[in-house]
Amino acid sequence: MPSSNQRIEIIRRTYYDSVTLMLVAKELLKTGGVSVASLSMGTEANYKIMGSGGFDLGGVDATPNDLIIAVKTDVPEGEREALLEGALEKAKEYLANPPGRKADSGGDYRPKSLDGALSVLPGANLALISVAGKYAGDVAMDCIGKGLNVMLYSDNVPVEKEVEIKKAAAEKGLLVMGPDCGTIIVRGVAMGMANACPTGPVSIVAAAGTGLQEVHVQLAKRGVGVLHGIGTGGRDVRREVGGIMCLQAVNALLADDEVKVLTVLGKPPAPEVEQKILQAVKAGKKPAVLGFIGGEAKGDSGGVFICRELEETAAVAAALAKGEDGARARENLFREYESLRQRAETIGRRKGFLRGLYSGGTLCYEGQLIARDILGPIRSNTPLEKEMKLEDSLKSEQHSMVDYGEDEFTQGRLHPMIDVSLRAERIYEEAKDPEVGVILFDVVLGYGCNDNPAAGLAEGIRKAQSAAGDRIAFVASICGVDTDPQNASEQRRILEELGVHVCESNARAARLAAMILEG
Amino acid sequence: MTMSMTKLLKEGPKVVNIGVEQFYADLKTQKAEAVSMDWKPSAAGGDLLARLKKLRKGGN
Amino acid sequence: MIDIEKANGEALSRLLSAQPLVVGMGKAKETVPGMKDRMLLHAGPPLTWETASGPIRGGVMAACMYEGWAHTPEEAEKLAASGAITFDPCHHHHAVGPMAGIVSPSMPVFVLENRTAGNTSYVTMNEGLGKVLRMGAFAPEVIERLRWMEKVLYPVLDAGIRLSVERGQELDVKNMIAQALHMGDELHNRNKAGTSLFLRAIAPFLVETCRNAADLAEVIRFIDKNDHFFLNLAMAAGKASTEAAHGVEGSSLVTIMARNGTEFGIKVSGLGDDWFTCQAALPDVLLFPGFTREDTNRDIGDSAIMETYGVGGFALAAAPAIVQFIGGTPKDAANYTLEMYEITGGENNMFTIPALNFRGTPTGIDILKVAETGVTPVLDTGAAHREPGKGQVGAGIVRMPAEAFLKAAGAFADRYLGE
Repeated sequence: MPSSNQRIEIIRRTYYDSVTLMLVAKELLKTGGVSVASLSMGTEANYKIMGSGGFDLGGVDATPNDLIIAVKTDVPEGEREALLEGALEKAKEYLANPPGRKADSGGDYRPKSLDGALSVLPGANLALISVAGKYAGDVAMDCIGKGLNVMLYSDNVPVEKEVEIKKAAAEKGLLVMGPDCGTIIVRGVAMGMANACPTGPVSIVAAAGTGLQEVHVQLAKRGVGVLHGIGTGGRDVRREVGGIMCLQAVNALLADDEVKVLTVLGKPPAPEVEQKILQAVKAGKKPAVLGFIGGEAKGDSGGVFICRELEETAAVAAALAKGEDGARARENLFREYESLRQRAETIGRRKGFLRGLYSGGTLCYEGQLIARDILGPIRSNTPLEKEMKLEDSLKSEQHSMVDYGEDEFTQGRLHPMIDVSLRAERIYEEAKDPEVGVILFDVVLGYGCNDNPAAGLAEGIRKAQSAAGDRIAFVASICGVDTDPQNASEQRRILEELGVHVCESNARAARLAAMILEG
Repeated sequence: MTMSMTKLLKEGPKVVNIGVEQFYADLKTQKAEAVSMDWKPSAAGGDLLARLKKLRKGGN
Repeated sequence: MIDIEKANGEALSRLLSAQPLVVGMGKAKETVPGMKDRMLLHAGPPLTWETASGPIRGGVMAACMYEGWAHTPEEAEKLAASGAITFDPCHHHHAVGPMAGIVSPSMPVFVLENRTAGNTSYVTMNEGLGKVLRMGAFAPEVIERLRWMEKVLYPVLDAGIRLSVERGQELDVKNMIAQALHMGDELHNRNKAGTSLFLRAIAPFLVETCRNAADLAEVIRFIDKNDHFFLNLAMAAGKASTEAAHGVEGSSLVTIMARNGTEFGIKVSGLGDDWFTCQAALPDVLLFPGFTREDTNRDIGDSAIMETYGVGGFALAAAPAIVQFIGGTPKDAANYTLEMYEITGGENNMFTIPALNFRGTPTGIDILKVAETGVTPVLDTGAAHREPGKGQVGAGIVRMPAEAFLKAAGAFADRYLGE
């Protein structure tokens, strides 16, 4: 007698929810060879449904309180017995552990509208916007309409939109940080790409991300905390925008009694904006340090310290926070820099070109300023002078420093602080050039950044070292602290094990790198 | 309900995250109050959206 | 310029203050306004025989044979295609029908009255599970059952309902829905508790009025075996309530969502009689044994009135078992409901969800919010086989298509922006 292509089993006096039964049946169908599967309580209606599903229920005497498990197969006769038996076993297993019943992961509800978000968090005071630039401006306007301050991480927002948003916000006394603002700290909480440092008496207003990060970290290394770090985006202090937000932020912090020392950072603003900042800061009667990176060496102005480098700004601000002499701190710092020459000697002079590969835009900028003083003109994709622009960002020429955070590297790709592979590869490429003597790079830590950048870069460094042997000296700075998710000391260890010369700041690293090639 | 920036600086951030999920995760790690939106560009084309915005404003 | 918020507030309050009571029964041709001989009502927006889907055609064929207009399925098909029958949406007659939703002149209907505003609604009795007209089946057993319903079920229920009305104890359907929500029903795919509550309420009146014990027993067994019996009453309650909210100048509140197996259609309170339609969704649902997605017909039925009314898919957090249909967790069920708050005008006054701290269900779909957020209503519903006569293939969660809402939003802007 041919073996049946179906098996029916009855489990008496049991109850299962019909949905659970359907899920088990669905799971059984995934088993090869099971063509139809049905699990149902023995009700009249279910008999009919199973009948139309192709089961022969002759002789089945299940009552509505009994469970019928029915499976059908389309495998050849010889294999049927085993397959059907296996299917029934599986069915019973699944009944004991219904599939699709995941542990309640409690996925937080993600509202689809701003109103929805505000009903979940009625006390919201800040919108952190990182959607595509073409939408970001309108999203920011909606948020301002609801009375929220805005951190606009997105870039590629048209300047007209930026002005519209900032004017609307200023009218309501709200802050707009950005566009293209990657780092914010409010009451010590890091947002975007920012470091986990302690809070304290200093607050910062900065145009861009890594400038703020470097000063934040340099202050922490000197035992001084930062309460607020407010970014305004790079365009704010230009003429078209007029420094609207920079001034709002400066005034708010000057009026805040928790802020003991104010720092303002960025590339030199438009002259009229610089004037306004200076005026505001002088009127504020609080110790203040202005760090206009690469600005003219104007000297301090009536109680307001004016610096040109990031570590310098931090050193002066730290001194002021501790009630010490800012000018003295600055002198000491530059004396320390001089002693880097000895370190260069110890490392051993190299011949050839400097190649800097940066993930931080402000760090790259500062690096060029410092290296230029020692080595002469530096080429870059973000050069200090137009004439020094690299024709092809992927091809270094003579002394070059490349900012991997620029558009040509980030279109459709993750930011270099998150994905280090491009830079790791480039380190190897540069090493193959026989005229390269020093490779310089930054390692930026903190929330939002790669969880082990040193390890990622180490791959490129190892390959470079097998190609170049001892010809190339590797110099790096780590913008981070031990309390960052990546742990700065750990990152340092990984690099030093490979013979990388790690410096305490970007300013020192750039100097050291240039000094190794000097003369 | 207008929140001035001073309130933000005094209260600390209570964030509506719109975009990259990692930023929301980092806020939760720091135990900050936050909610993350599942943001999508509106199904209505830019045109219709602009008209709807006008409708909303005009009515009240 | 109209005040949309105010208009929507008015429309929502008319919906929420509706009190639908069962006030009687009758044959469709004598009871349903506008019902004529050789007329068949159907679910969803207007259609023609040419555009009609399998389940609708099957239901029409069954109805023709039930009415005696044709004696075989082939005759029925010819008749339907000939133009001798008028097809009209149930919604044009203050009525609603689940799945194919076919109402023919001889079919008995429940009559519900919104005590607050005085408007009425109509719905047939639910046939049960398996091979039924509403799934497009037209086998002899379907016709037999319909005849039994007309000859036995109807008179027994009718007598009981009359008595309840006489005594001033009309069945309060909204009240039953509210209780059922706390007993695991969401009132679209799960109506078990509602059916039990209905049977409990009507039983004494049936016992008092029914002279034939055998008939009474049959009736009670019939209702007992049909976990969805209450659905039709709940739908009529929804119809009576949402229709009361229609016609408020400047309101963007949805008063009808309905599907006919080919198209999905909505009506909006402040946009008059216009239907806004688009292709109905193709359900991706949990399937009964032996069926595949290729067998599934497009979304069908007036049962979307339940979500329009603030329950069904909008109350998934009250019936987490349903969300297993797509391998979800109770948190997913809650998240669906939370999402619906973002496209509705307010919270229900009587329908509450224990799992959300007894928050009222999201009620009053706003086409403007749908257009702005891109979030469309979520329904949980049965799916029919695309071929007439093959019945139900599965059940699960389905998203309504955005197009109809966008069309309505555009029309709303046209009308109320005045430019």
